[in-house]
Amino acid sequence: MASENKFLQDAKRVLDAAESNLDAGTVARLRAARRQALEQGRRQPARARPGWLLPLGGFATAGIALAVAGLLWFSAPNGNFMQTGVGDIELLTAQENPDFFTELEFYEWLEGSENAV
Amino acid sequence: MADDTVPTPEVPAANHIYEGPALEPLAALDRFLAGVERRAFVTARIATGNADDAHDIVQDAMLTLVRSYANRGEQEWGPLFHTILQSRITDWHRRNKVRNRLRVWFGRRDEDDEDDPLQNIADGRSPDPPAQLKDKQAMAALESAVGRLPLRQQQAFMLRVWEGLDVAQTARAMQCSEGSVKTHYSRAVHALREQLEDHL
Repeated sequence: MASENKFLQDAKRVLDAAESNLDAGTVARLRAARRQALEQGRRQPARARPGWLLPLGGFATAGIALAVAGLLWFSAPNGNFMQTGVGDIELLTAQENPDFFTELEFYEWLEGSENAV
Repeated sequence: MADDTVPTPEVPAANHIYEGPALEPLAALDRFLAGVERRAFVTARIATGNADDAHDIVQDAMLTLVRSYANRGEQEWGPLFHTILQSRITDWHRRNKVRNRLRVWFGRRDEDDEDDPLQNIADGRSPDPPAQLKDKQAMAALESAVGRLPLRQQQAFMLRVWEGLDVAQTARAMQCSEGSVKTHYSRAVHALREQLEDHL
């Protein structure tokens, strides 16, 4: 315990020496910073936020969340979406060459004309 | 110290609406800041390892105290200033951690990181070179060892040992529990004694 106290006293002594041995440039810079802080603080003191701002912000956020939820809930579902989606899946999973689908109408016409013959 | 203080600002004209802190506390604040600025700078320099960043932190802490707490009682300024300073140091460490991660990701190294050969030249103007050299060596060893501690241990050590705050005051300044302060402080002293017993 005695050795710990001595260690702590020595550490404090070294830190005190560091404080008093600061070079003139550092001391001048600190003095200038203090003057600037006092001057700025005198001109532009921090304005306290009104107490009603916090609950107002909460209400605004809750309102936006409700509006988004309402829009999603009441918007009519689009029936075409699923049909288009299923059609697209068929195209994507088909084994045929994609060119086949671009010329599908021609093959349908060809099939029809062969049956006619 | 008295001639170092800033002259009290002039009283504003009667028709000017003055919204700043009352002028009387400014003179007292100036005296208070003049008394703590050097310690604050050394504390910030140890925490950041960089004099320029330490200056920025101290100036920011002083400005926050003046702008937000000038009208508080003088006895409150000390604890408030410690809290603001430690909070700014913590913010600096967080920002620095992010910056270091980005540097690692992008594989960049700043030119500032290069060693400056001028810093290794000894200052020959000292009036008592051997004594000052010993102090400088001890200070360098202490700064380096404290700087290597985890931030919370560093803060607990500096506030308890140098600022002389008790456990409750330190907990308020560090914004943590008294139990945490005891743990951080104990670990810090243990680690520093192991590293510095020969230097101090």
